[in-house]
Amino acid sequence: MPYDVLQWPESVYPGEVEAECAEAHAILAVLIGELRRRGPSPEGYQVKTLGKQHSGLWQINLRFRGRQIRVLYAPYEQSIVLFRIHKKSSPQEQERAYQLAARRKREYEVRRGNHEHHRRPRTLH
Amino acid sequence: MSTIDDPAHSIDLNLKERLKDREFRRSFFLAEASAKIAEQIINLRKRRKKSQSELANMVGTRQPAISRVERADYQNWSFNTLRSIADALDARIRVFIEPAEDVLCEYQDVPESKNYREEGSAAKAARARLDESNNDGQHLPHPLRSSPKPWNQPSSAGCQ
Repeated sequence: MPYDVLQWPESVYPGEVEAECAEAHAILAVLIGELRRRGPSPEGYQVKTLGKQHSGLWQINLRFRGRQIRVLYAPYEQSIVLFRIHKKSSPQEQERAYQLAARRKREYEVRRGNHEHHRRPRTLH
Repeated sequence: MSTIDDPAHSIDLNLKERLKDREFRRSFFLAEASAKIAEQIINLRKRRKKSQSELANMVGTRQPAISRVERADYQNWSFNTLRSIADALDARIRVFIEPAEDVLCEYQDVPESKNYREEGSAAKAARARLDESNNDGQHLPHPLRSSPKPWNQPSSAGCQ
């Protein structure tokens, strides 16, 4: 069943991709297509659930030309929301990315809760 | 732009414009092929009920080599590797080399939110032409696109 792949905020794609890992733009476009077609855990991709300590975020690790590209997202019923796309440069940078994505996820869920008459959304995991 | 029910913003891949760029197109087609190859090998290996280690033994290589080829972002596979894997799994390889100008239309008339979900009319027309040219009356699954009937599922019409 197809999924809607969305982003929060609006600057994730293509904004963060162009700013931080433009060389991987095509491979990320393919990944977004695969998420739409096959859901939050497409075969062949390294998908990791980060657990409660990272607010229930999911992560896909891509290797491209010797660099690691990270996509942080969360599935919600029939949609998948991307919160951060970045090139991993150091453990510190990765931790900042987790924190930023977690903050964005909380913001999004508050907005979504308002849209749904204050019903809190459930993530899939 | 948000959907009516969701405050999040939709993602516009804008493939129609981006694929006009030769470099982007080159990277995109390679990434797409890699993802499809990985998906096909994983699905076929599971269908044959083999582990990566068992497949590696059948091919005469080691498990990490199979794991690499099953990664959607792995782009250094060789035809010989794929041929060995296909042979070990009792499958055929079918290769299409398609000029960009013949396939770009497949990305152009599909509404953005429906990309990868179903073929657009131009893609359907192209498929119809391909089917006609094969003149065998059977549906030929496209190797690199999603389609209403999954290309990686066994055809009910064939091999029964």
